[in-house]
Amino acid sequence: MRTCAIIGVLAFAQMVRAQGPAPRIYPAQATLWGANTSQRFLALSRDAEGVERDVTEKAKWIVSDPGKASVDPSGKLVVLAAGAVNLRAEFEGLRADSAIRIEGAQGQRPFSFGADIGGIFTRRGCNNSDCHGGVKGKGGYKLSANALFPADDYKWTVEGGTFDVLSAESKGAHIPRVDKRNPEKSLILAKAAAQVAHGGGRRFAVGSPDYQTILDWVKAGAPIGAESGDKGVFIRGIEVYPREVVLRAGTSHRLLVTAHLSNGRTEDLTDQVLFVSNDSEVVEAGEGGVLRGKQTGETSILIRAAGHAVSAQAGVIGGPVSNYPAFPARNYIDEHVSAKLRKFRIVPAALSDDAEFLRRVSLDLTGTLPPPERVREFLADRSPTKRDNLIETLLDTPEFVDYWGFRLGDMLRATFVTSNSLAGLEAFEAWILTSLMANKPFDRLAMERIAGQGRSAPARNFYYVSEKVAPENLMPELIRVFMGRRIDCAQCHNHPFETWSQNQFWGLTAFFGGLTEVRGGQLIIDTMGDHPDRPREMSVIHPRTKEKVLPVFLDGTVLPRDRWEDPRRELAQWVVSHPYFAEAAVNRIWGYFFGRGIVDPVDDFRATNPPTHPELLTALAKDFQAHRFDLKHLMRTIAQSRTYQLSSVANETNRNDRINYSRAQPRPLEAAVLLDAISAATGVPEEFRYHPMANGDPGAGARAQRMLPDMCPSPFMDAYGRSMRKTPGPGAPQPALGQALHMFAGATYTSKLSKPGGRLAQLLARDAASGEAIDELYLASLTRLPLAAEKESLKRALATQRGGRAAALGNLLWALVSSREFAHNH
Amino acid sequence: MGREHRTRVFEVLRSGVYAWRLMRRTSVFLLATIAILPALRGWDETTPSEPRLLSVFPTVAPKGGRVRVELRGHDLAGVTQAWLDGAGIAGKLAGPAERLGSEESPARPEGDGKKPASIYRIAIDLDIGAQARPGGHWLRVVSPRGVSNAVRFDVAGRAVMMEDSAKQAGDLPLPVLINGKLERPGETDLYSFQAGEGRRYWFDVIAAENFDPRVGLLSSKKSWFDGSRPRRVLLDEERSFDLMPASAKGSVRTSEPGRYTVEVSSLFGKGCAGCSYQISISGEEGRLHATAPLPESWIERDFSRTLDDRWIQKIESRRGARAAMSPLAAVFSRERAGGEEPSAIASLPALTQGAIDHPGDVDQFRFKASTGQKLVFEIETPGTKPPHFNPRLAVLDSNGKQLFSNIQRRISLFNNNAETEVYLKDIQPRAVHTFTAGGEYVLQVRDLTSRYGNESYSYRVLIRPQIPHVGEVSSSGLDHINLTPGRARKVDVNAMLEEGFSGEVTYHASGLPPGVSMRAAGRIVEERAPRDLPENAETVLPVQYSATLVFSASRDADPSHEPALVTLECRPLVDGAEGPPLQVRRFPLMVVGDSGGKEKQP
Repeated sequence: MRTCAIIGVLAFAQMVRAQGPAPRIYPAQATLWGANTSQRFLALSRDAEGVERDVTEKAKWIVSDPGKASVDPSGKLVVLAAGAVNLRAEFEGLRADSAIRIEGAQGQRPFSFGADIGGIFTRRGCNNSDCHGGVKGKGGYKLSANALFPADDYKWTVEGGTFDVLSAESKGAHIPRVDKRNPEKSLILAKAAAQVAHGGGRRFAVGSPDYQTILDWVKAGAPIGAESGDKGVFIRGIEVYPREVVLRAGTSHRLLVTAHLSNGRTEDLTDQVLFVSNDSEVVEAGEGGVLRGKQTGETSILIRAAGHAVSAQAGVIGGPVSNYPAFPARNYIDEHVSAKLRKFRIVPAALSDDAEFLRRVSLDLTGTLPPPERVREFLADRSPTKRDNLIETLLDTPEFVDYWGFRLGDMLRATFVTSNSLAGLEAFEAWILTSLMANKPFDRLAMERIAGQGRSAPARNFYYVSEKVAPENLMPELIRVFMGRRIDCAQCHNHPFETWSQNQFWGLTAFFGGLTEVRGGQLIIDTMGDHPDRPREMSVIHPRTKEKVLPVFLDGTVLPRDRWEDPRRELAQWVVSHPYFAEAAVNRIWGYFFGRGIVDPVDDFRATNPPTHPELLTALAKDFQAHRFDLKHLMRTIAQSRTYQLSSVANETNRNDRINYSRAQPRPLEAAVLLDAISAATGVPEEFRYHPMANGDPGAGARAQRMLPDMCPSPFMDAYGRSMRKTPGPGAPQPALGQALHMFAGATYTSKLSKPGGRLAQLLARDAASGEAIDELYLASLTRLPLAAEKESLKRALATQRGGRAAALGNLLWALVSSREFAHNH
Repeated sequence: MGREHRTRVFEVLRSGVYAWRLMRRTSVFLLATIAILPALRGWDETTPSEPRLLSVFPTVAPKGGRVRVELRGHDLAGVTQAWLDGAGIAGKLAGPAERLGSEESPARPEGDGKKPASIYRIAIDLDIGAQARPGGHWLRVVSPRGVSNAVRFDVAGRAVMMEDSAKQAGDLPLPVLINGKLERPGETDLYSFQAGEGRRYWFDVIAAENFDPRVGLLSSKKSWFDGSRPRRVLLDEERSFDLMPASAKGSVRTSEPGRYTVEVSSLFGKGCAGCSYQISISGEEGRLHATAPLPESWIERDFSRTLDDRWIQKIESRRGARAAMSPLAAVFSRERAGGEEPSAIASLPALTQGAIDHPGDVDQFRFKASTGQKLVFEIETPGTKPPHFNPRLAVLDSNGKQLFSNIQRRISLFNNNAETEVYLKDIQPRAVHTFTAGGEYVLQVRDLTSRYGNESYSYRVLIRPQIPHVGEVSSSGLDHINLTPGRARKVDVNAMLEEGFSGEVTYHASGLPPGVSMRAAGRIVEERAPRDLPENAETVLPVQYSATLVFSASRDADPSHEPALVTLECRPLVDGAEGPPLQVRRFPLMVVGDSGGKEKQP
């Protein structure tokens, strides 16, 4: 009996293994409203490796009551009558069910210009930013990008006219795109069907469903229909499923897009939206949301519906990996990263060795190379917690303050020009540095910056020009820095890709509309109602409508007048309590440690630029918030993670990986860090002419990281792409010919090497043995001891090189500091 | 606050346009000035080679002893004596002036094409009597080419260390007052002391005029990367405040015992021969305070003046009318802490006080005024002062409508998005108003910002009837005068006519040496500038009364051997009757020989 039972279990297990687990249907249940409503369903099944694949086209679809609904082989169900039905998918002998309720099968969903006609515009690409959705439209016809503003689209379609940045009145000839007398001759149809010349070519055929929808609409008198408002039903948001798709080359997977309506219902939009692959060499996106894997890699898929956009991630995985190694998670970062690596069958690199870790973490936390004696000390340390101990030590160094002061200086654009005076600049710099020394919570730092008032040091930067530099220049920069969103475009027109409107832009700008200087610029305040007849002004002028715009938060909430006392503090409070704030901050810091943000560029969050690891981003943001926006905690968490401590040595599976953190990516040192590193390696401090700490006196010893770009000329740092702080963010260290010239002939790489008192001179003075000298130079520059083979060959080279020992060691040091290993953090 | 180097182009533009507008408005004044020019033959703006002092070191010494100080400056060759304002302190030359070289500007190594001036050094032995007044004294030198400008020298009531000995002393005994100097660009001076755990220490730097000092604290711990790099300790003010410091001072409560080092540096590393300073380091055993400079002249538009009954008497003494009002007795009242309802002021005049004890705090006082009553609202900040505490004072009627405030607005040339006209704004320590209707009013006091406030943001407000009087009289640049026989020197003076003073102002100089005379060459009542707004004309700023005084030496005037101490006074003139003399300034004046124009090389 027992034997039989065992045999039975084994047989079942074998069957399951052979057939795979049972499929499932998505959505597992649905409620459909209205006549002719359709809903697409997916049949999903996990393969032997646990990867969920789309078997919709292979499954057999059966509806329980064909009188109420029909289903086609692609899983699309069409409503026929009200009632309840069961939908079944059968695949490889297994089945899954979905319970469906059908309501109001005789009712018609009210027509909506925005959803119905705007949906066609979006799906057919008519309102792309490079077509009629551009700022000024195209060919005399303007549409809002992505049908964001259906009322405007309606006007431009039915009445004609185009958008003008500076005026609410449209310019040019008003050519209606519809012809109510002869609907078939409407330009909107004739152009799109290529019946007349159309720069955009044919968008749909005569008689196609989209053609017919538009024709019917024109015949009906081209009504605007039920638009946003109390009575109309509109789309609140759209959702894509799944958000992450794993494919193999040659396989396909459909995405489903669901609209959440203002009346609480949902609607399948899959066939009414546009799918665009960011990298069609990896994944191709077709109509109806069918993705097809082409080659190993990962990309995002942008889904554009009328007035809305979302994105999904799609990856094409390689072959199975035998003996996938364990990835012991130090913290939640590792859990998120390893889950995705496993899913995409990417094997992470091994843990970095101590020397690699020491160099990387020293550069990332302090921008400073450890001196040889510290390298030896760390390599000799046998403590199991020595990496954690090192992180704590580094977080508490003055070099940490220097380095992050430099980085925050880049981010907040600390320059003489923006600070207007030496005293103002010094105060702003001091505020940054003391904030770091005190480990000021990042939300407080942001609040002090955004709401800087009176004689506050952060108000010394930019705000001094409040009377002359318009608030519309102040606001978007702060939003970009602290919320990671670029809304600058919306200053002149509705944002072409995002949901930022011009009204939102100016509503947010109005928070800065009362900025004023008092006492000759000593104080910055918001208008205090200093005139009996003008109690308080807190507004800006909308450039198009010429009307006053009052302060409105980005989400549309108007700042009530009784809270106008301190408007920028209200804004700052809103900024730091918004989810955008924490995720933008952690993404920026993450970007510093990994060379790219989870959203990259780090200050360009948008629906069309999705995060590579959304759950990780959320977890980091939550952790940051839970720890009171403690920057050191965030950096500690990152630096302690196994993910951060992985080696930069690639394996077969992660060689091409750039976005999954499967290994450390070598990053070029920033110009200032490189210059300081050369000074440290050679033991010769840089002499800055006019460096500010010496009042213009040529002086030595100052660190490049403390040099302000507009006060301290440095051809070296210029050549290596330092940030001039004209925009927020770090510099762009890109290879350039000038760098090669510096390397071969520049004083930084040449005369420094042999300067009296330098490292080389000291080695020669104490007549250090070749082996000792080689070790010292390696430790000072590469933070590691030479490999045995390296050392032996170098010893031979030193013994035989012409020009004497000094020249030979000088050549070695030059070779070390000009190597890629030196110039990169890896 | 430190001197801010304003380099904005638009400020220059603003100045230029303002100057043009001012010129138009004051054309009468210009015409008058041009008219008297022929009478001013032999006009002297300055005497080019008169001695000019740049710095003194040390800047402080204890009373009851002798100290040798080093003066640096231009044209010091031939200096014959030191000249002080008396008060128990005397100086004697310790030797001839020594030429050091030329003044170079390290910030502009390319040069600006001007010939650099020679720098001289001269030593003076100062005898500081036991009775010498502690605080600031003005020190000058005299040569055949005239009397120099003044540099400040302080007398301390306690021992003072020189920086070299303080640096060599190791751990300094506290409290300590040190004379220091930042001679080279990038220089920092370090002074060490032993601190106990949980003890509080104060550091206070008083600087010379020509640099902005900075003070910091270093612990004995070093950087992990660099064993020679000390680690900074945040001062308590740096830890808890985002405000720019108004001066180089700070305090700390040490968390660990041990050696700490005070670092004195300067804004962006400025260093120079004249960059001298005093620093006091003190602990809980006894805190040293900086010696405040002595006011030279009458100051009434300042948030630091003491508002009390005597203040009213002082104002009374400047009104000029012979039949002065009897002194007013102010009734004292205090803000009701935490009250929603305004505190009541029973009668006027009244002195009220309170504090903006938390950010956004608005204190209110209720008072009654009768129709046509002319009142003055003066505010003093005894604790935290501007630019940190900037008190805003406003009066509201019974409907809550603001009648006026102490914010002065002028129209700026520059525009922003929201307004067609932009205002240059300032706060004044006084607002004047005539009430057109009797009734109850509310006085509001708050900080200009809504961000700051604590118990040190204290204020006193004096509400009193208007007293038309002559206010502050300024004579910019009048520090000393050197005249050659047959030549003259012009001095512009501006008197502020406060609270509706409608008389005139006459000027007199006493103590002039033989052959020297003073006369008023022209005068005009000038509009306020630039473009004050009419609605607050009465409220915040007085009318300015400008005059030009001409000091001239007759052709046969004998050269002076030493400076004469001249007292310049003015008198209010109302209805033909002169009021009491009001001192404007005391300054030295010399008649120098014709040969004084050439610099003698040693």
